[in-house]
Parts: sequence; C-alpha cells; structure tokens
Amino acid sequence: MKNRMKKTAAWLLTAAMTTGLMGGTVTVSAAEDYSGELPQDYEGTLTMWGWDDTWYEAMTKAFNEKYPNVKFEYTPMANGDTLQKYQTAIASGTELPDIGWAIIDSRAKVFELDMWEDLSADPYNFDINEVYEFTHPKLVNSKGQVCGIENGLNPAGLAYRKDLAKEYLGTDDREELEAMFPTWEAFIEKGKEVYEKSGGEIHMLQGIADAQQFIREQDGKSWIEDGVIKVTDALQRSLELACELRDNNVVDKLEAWSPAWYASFGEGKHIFGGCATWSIPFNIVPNDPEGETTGHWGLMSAPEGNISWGGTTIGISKTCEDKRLAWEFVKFATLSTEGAEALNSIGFLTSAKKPYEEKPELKQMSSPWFGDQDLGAMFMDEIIPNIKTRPMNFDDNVIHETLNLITTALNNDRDMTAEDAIEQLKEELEMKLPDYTVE
Amino acid sequence: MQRPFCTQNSEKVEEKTVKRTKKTLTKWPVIFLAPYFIFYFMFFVYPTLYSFFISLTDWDTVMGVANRKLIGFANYLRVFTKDKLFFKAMGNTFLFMIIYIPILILGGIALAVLLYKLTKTRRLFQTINILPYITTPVAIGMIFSFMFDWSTGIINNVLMKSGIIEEGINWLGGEATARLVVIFLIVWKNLGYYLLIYLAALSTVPEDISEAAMVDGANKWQVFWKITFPYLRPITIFLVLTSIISGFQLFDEPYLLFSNINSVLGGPGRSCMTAMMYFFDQTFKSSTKLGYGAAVSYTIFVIILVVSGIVSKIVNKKED
Repeated sequence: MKNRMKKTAAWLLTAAMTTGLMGGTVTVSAAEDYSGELPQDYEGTLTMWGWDDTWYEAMTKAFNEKYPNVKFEYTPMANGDTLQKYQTAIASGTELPDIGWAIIDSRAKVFELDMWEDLSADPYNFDINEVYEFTHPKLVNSKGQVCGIENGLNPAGLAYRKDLAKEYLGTDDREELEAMFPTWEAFIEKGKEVYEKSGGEIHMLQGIADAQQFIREQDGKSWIEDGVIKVTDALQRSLELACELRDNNVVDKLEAWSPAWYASFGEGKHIFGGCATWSIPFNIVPNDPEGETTGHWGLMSAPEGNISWGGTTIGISKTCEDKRLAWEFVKFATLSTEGAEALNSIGFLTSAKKPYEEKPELKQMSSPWFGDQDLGAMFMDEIIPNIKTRPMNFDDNVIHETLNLITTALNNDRDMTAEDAIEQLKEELEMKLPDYTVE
Repeated sequence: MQRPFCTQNSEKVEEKTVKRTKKTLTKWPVIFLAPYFIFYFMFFVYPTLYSFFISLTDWDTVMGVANRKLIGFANYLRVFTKDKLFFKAMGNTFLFMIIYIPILILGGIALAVLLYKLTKTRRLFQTINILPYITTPVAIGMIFSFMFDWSTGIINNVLMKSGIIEEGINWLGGEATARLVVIFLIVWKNLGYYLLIYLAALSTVPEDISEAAMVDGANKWQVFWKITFPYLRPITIFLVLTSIISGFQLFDEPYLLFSNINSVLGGPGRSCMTAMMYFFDQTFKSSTKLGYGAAVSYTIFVIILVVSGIVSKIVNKKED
C-alpha cells in the first residue's frame, strides 16, 4: 500500500514538473517566437473598437482565410470619441480592446495614454523603416515608443475637374497645371481670373478650410516647441492666405464636411478639391455619379507641396491577453503582402514598403472617375516624395479645433482681417491652453 | 396560587410576543429599505464623494492613477482665476435659461388654457405637442442641423422661395443666429412637457369658484389672473426650479447641433458652449485632466445649488 502511494506520488510529481517545464517552455517560446508565423489552426479571439467597417471586414476576412479559427469581436465607435472611450476605460479599470485604433486628430494624446505596447521593443521588434518615412512622426509617442502602424497610406494632393480646368485654365494636363501653380499666390491670381471669367459661378476650391488643410500642414513646422505655441511662425501665413483666398473669391463659402460641401463634388462649380487616397471612395464616388462615365477628374500635386491627410493606426493594448495573436494580426494587416492585397481590394494602399517590392502591381490604383490616370503611381511617385510631415504634439487637437473656430469666423465675417484672426487665435489659445506661452 | 402563575405565564407570553414583534419590526424594514440605501450609496453618495476627492487631485489620465497627488483647492482656484472659458460657458448657459424658461412657462400655460376646454381634438393636440419631447435628442440635433444648413437647409429654401430673404442666412455660422436656433430647438422640444403638466394642474382648479366669479361679473381675463393663475402657482414654482436645474445641465441639443467633423465645440465663437459641454470637453474630449474636470463639475454643482436656493427663497417669500 505504502509503495503504491509512493509510486502515485512520484508519478504525480513527475507529471507536475513536466507540465511546469512545458508551461515554461511554452511561455519562453511564445516570448521569442513573435517574428515567425502562427500555426494555421491557431485558436483565439481578438477585440477591437473602431469606425471603419469596410477596412475591418476586408482585413478580418482575409486574416480568417489564413487563420480560420481566430474570432473577432468588433464594437463600433465614433472616431471622435476615441480619447474619451480609452480614458474612461483606463480610469474605471474596465477592459480595453486587444487591438487599439488611433485616429490622427487625437492621436498625440491617445498615444500618451499608458495602454500601448511598444511595437519597436521586444518581443515585437518592429523596424519602423519597414514603412514609408513620411508616416514615422505619426507612429511614435513622446517617449519614442511605436504605439501603432498606419492601416493604410494617406497621401493627399489636389483633385481637379478636367472639364473646368480646360475651360477656365486652358489645360487639363496635370504637369502644366502643376507648373501653373507653384505657390498659393499664383493660385490666388489665377483664381481671381476664373471667378471673373465665370461671372462669379466658378471657384477654385469649396471653402477656406479646404485650402487651410494644405497650407497649415505642408511646411512640416511643429505648432508647439518647448512649451511655446508658435502662432506667428507656424500659423500666421496660413491665416493671411485664408483672408486673401476669401477676399478674392478664390474659395467658395462652403463649410468642410457639411452636406453642401459633399454635394459640391458633383455640382461642377469648383475646379479643385483636396484629395487623399480615401477621398475618392468617400467624397467623389458617392457624390458625382456622372463622373463614372465621363472620367472627368484628375489628380495633381498641390501648390507648395503635398500633405499626409488623416489616417488611423492599429496597435496592441497592454491588457491584451493574447499579444502573440494580436501582433500576428497587426503584422498581417499593416506589413504583409496578403494584407496589402486585402487593402487594395477596397481601394487603399498599404504603408509598408516590402509588399510593393514583392508585388509591384500593388502600387496600381485606378478609378473610372479619374479616367486612365494611374492614381497609385501618382500617389506613390509624385505626391509622397513631396510630403513634409509635421511632428505631433500633445495639444495639437486643441490648436486644430481653435483653428477651425477661426476659419468659421473668417468664413462668416468677411470684414475680419488676418490681424483680427491672429489676435483671436492667440486669445482663444491663451484661454484653452493657459499653461503654454503663445508666441 | 394559580392566578399569579397564570399572570406570570401570560406576562412571559406577552413579553415574548413583544420581543418577536420588535424583532420582526426591526428586521423587515431594514431588509426592504436596504436595497434602496445600498444603491443610493453605490451610485450617488460614493461617486459624489469620490468625484470631490478627485477634484482635489492633479489626476491626469496620461500620468496614470498611481501618480496622482493631492493638490488641495488648486483646481478650484484655477477655475475661478484663470479659466475665462468656464465663465463664458456659464454666461451662455444663463443667457439660454433667461430666454427659454419664460417662453416655456408662458407658452405652456397659454397652450394648456387653449386646449383645456377642447373636447374632441384635445388628445390629438396633446399628442402632437408631446412628440418632440419623446424624440431622441440625437435625432433632433441632426434634423435641426440639416434644416438650418446654410445652403441646403429647408428653412432658407422656404424663406427664399417666399421672398422674405434674398440670400440664405448662415444660421449655424453666426453667433446670434446659432443661439436663436438652440433656443428654438429647446422650446420646440420641451413645450409639450410644460403643456402636459399645466393641463394636469388646470384640472385641480375648482370650477365652482370660477363660475361664481363669472356670475359676480368677472370677465374671462380676470378669472384667469385672479383665480386660475394662483392655483397654478405651486406647479409653476416646481417647473421653474426643475427648469433651472436642467438648464444648467443643458448638453445634448447644442452639442449635437455642432457635431460635424470640422465643427467647433459650442459653435461659432463658442456662443452655444454650455457649462456641461465645457466640463465634458475639459475632462474627456480635448483634455485628459480628470482632476480639473471634476473641479469644474463641482463648481457647476455648487452654482446650481446656490441659484436654486435663491430662486426658491424668492418664490417662497412672495408666496408668504
């Protein structure tokens, strides 16, 4: 009896030790094995909160073709609520999503929250040079940690109506138009002529905000440096140009993202419009049905350079229980060729370089609305090299919102001068951000 | 000898019954009341006290809960000495209340008096008026932002087609017009509620007094001011006080009216930014300062308390 008990105890002990060792081995190997691929029958569940259903569906469908046993739980969230949702989850100790999304508008603040895995560190070891350089400043927080990777490229140039350009500017050739508008001053001069020639019917752009979006971003100057908001250095010119654009009727009075603004893409009253990769499916296609058959749109570089406009990163939250699986998904969606193909199927371009080397045809992007123009080549070879990315600052979202306030005021009050606008901007910033010096 | 035994016995029985009753009485009220008090403590007392504690800290979500420290009344000092936007938001809130509360009270009474005597169509009008009140604020905000859109809104189209204006008015772009739209929205949404309350109150006014007054030669106007209106006084006090409290909490309608991607918090020139919107923005939207946000919310709470107290005192004094 005693011997039997001893035997049983010995077996149990051996089993326990073996399990422990195996467990240890699994943990160690899991920690070291993030660079490889997961077995195809891997099982697990990933949670996400997001706003781009098209991207989510295309990407998870493609991922499930490779890993059919992985499940996803998706909670729709408005992109404007990102900061609030993450903050409240952290403060109350409730569960964060495994895969965290971050929209560009509030990203600087969201990346400072203590919720992100550093993707450049162990065990992920993501090399930031795997993605396009102009996206780098928008992927890191103030400590230099990579908190997410862009889920697509967002370069932006100007879309133009070929028919209107031919009629009012004398050409619809992209290169000739780019040569015609080396600066915003040249754009204003020509815009005055167009307005007069059309009897006040045609404007160059829909509103002040459309020009502002480019002017503010294209010189790559930081808005905040060492606790000082650089109003004069970084923002004064954009407000002066805004007044000139308005006073000379180069821009119409439409407020960006209003119903009238969306409808304007199909009305043929504005020659140009800001155009990022996502503008084509979101702004042009749904509002200009005629354009599908006529192909009357073209894409060119903006005066004084192009910009990176918008964008969403995906990263891994610290509370994620299966970080190995989460990294597999992030890698798949942002860095892999399969992910790039899934992205192409919904009309977007990946931010990783390698997929383009492996499959150069991934660079191709076209739309019936743009006739036979190779949009992929235009974005990748002409627009991207011409982008200077502005570094992110913690309170950029507040400055951005205040600039919107001034733009609205300039749009509504035609007597408001650039000096008035700068004064109001300074006053507003001093009220909203009293801890900074406004210069 | 039997008797004392009996008495002793019955006394014991009585004592036992009293004890049992006492036990029963002490146990059941506690059991029945406990859930209320537990939930009241969990969802009101504790959060109220905890948010006051938060307001005394420099808690910022970025810095994390572990690094927060007590800073006394520094947040409150900042609210009162440095924060001009807080005062602007409070000013907007007061302005809205001063305009829309009298409109709602007088409009509610007028509509109720008009509908009270109707027999056949009263229910129909009642239902029509209450519909906006039961509609979700999100839908109302969106509908109004479309209706008052500068170039595509139905209001400008109707005004232009009827020749009242030549060019569309930028309702949501100008400070004064944006405020007008917010006030119109609040009145349109809430008038039905005031109407219902006043209709209920009118049914408590004894008709024989009014009839006697009419017999004595009083006209309808005199009957309304001298008899009906005094009977409505307690309801009016209730409505004024609850309107003030809800007025300080005004958030949904102006927030949703300006919720486009590029819209500014509180509309043009922050003319429609209310105290609650400012609290929300400072705590969650554009900032991560939970401690400061809690101080802003406590300041609003104290202001509501003081204003409601003053109004209640004034009204009660008049009643005395």
